[in-house]
Amino acid sequence: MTAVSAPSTLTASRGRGMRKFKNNLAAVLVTLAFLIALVPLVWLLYTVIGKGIRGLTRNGFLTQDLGVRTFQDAGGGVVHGIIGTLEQVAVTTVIAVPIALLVAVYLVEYGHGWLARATTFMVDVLTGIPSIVAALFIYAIFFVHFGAQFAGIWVSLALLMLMIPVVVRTTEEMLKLVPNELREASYALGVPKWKTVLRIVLPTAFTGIVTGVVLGIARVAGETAPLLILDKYTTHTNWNPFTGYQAALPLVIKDQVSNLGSSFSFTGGTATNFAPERMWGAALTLIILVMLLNLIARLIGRFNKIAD
Amino acid sequence: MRDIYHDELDEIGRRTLEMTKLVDVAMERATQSLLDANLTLADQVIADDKRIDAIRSELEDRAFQVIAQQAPVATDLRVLISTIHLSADLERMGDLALHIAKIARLRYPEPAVPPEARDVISQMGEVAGSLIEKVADVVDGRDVALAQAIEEEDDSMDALRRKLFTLVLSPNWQRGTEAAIDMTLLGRYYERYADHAVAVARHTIFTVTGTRPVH
Amino acid sequence: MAKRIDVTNLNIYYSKFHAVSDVNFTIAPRSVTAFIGPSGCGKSTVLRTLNRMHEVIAGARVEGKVALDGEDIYANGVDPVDVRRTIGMVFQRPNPFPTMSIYDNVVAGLKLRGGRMSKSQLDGVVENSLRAANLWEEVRNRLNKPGAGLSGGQQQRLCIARAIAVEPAVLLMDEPCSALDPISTLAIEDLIQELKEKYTIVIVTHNMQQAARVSDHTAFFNLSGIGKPGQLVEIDETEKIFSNPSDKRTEDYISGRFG
Repeated sequence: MTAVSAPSTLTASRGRGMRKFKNNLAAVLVTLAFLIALVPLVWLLYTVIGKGIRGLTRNGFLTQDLGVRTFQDAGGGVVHGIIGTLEQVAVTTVIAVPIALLVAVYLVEYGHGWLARATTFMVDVLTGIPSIVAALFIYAIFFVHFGAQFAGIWVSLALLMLMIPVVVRTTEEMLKLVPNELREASYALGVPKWKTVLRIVLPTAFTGIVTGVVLGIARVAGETAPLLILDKYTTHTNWNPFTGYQAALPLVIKDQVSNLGSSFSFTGGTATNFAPERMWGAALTLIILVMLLNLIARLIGRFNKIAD
Repeated sequence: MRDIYHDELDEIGRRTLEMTKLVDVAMERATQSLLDANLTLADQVIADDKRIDAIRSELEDRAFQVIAQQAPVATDLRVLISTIHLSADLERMGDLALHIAKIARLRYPEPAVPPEARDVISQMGEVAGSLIEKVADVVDGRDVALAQAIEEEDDSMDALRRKLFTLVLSPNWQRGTEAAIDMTLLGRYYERYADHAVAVARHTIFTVTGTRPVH
Repeated sequence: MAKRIDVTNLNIYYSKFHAVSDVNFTIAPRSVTAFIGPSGCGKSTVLRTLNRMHEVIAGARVEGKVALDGEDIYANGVDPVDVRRTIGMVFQRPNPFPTMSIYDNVVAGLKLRGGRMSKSQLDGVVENSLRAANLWEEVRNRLNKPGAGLSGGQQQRLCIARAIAVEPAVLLMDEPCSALDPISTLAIEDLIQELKEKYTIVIVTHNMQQAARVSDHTAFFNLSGIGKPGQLVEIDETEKIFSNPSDKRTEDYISGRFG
């Protein structure tokens, strides 16, 4: 007669099957949700890359503007849009980053009273401003009041109001992430507060701050409303953001959109419409541009670490 | 907090008190067996001495373990160090009772104490009993004033011993050399008993006050 | 170089809350004094008032006098930054600056205070400080590696080297071994015994055995009641505190009857 072995408490638990099932179900649902969330991103990339690669790889797409060409004329490129976008975003960044840094440093390191609370509140408000409202603000002051003309600089000023709050918030978070013990260590050495912020806190938060700046740039690089209200499209390259119409990549895209579906030919008969491929090409260019900026930011972060 | 630690300290205190009671009983029986020439009582004292020795070992081990594991400080530390010292003194007191019982046994069936010395020996036995009672009170209640009284009673024990000595050395001593030696030894044993009792009291004073009494 | 500290009628407030009341004590130069007491009794707070670090918290203020070789560090016109140059501090969790190498960490105090020293002078300071902190042999070949790459015990010794590189008169240590393993702890305790020949050292510790091992004098702080301010109950030679303290509260605390 074989002996009956006592049931082991480790393997005979009753709810085991149910728990395993729930575990697997949760894993499946989570993976499914992730895949569903990925769908629009993948679809978008696939579409833009698929449709834009042809325009992008055309000879001179990145080095020529459209000049006097119509949507039916082959050749040319979007360099006028690239220059415009780069310049406008650069001006915005150069003005926004110092302001945003100082505001963030004030809020985290110095501000404790009513002024800090008011400032935080204003930054919150600015975070939610629609880009068209920012554009209208600039329009009201400079165009209506001072009689300014369409140019790239006004776009930069409108984008300023959109970029500052983003950079302030991310910089704030990065500064708060710097452990207080580092500040204390510095104070305990007899280092004054401003030097502590400048030489200890900011360098420690540097990588995070750079990431925040890039996020800000990504936010404003594709904004179209200020471009529509404060600037006018031109097919020629304008290197001067202060005077004259200046193109930008979103404007290029919009311009091509208005030419879609038209197959009217000046010379009679149906003609090839280059608008679609230029449009998608410009969109792809814009995405690649922002990605490049992101990469540069990461490289700066990496370089900063190695330099230690 | 630290219940196990405090329980152990309490238990050590209780066992110390038990040890003083055992010593008290041993000495009482030893004196009686001496005066009554009672062999059974003497044998009992001789046998029971093992128990006293055993408690001393136990107290030493316990105290050592607490010191090693619990890092006692201040009063607790003084209690433990004193316990180690005074358990040695108590064991010695038990051994002295043992020696007294052995003399009683040796001379059996004759009484080891001649009639002229009975009084003195009897008084010494009473002083011894009174001393160990006070010692038990001092250890239990940590009464520093009582410790003072013990020192004084020790003086009376010294006086009794001198009296016994005078008796033995007097020209009227008829009992011979053996008996003289017995009386001398007995006097010594009772006197040493009292001295150890004083030592126990002094260790307790150190426990309570943290300073060693000047003597 | 080591200085004497005299504290008189020290009361510490956080806005309206009275945190510590009426503390008086003296600390001799070139000695080690330990502050012990239950959590929240104010020992760290008192430590921080010795180099005016408590002022980093908004609303914290002090009444009374803290004198360094007779000079009150709370007198009018005294800059807390200057006070902290003479009184250094080491914290509970090692906090080397992460963006700096070991070398830069040690000289951080000198450089950030605007000193102009030649490279060879700085090299000398680095070697002396790391030797004094018993860390030189372990890191001499990797001085330009990041400070954060060391073990916990090494990092703490780096912080000690950093603190003594600026040649303070007093070294305050706020539970310096709490975050370390037992071997590193003993290494730092040995270091403290060496350092006391040059500096006045005050150490806050939760570990009573450490206070007993390391200090010449011990101060016991306690709360007088729930919600009441902390106070100094007893300060005396360590040997006396742990063998026969004067105050029953001290005895109860060190015997583990509360706290």
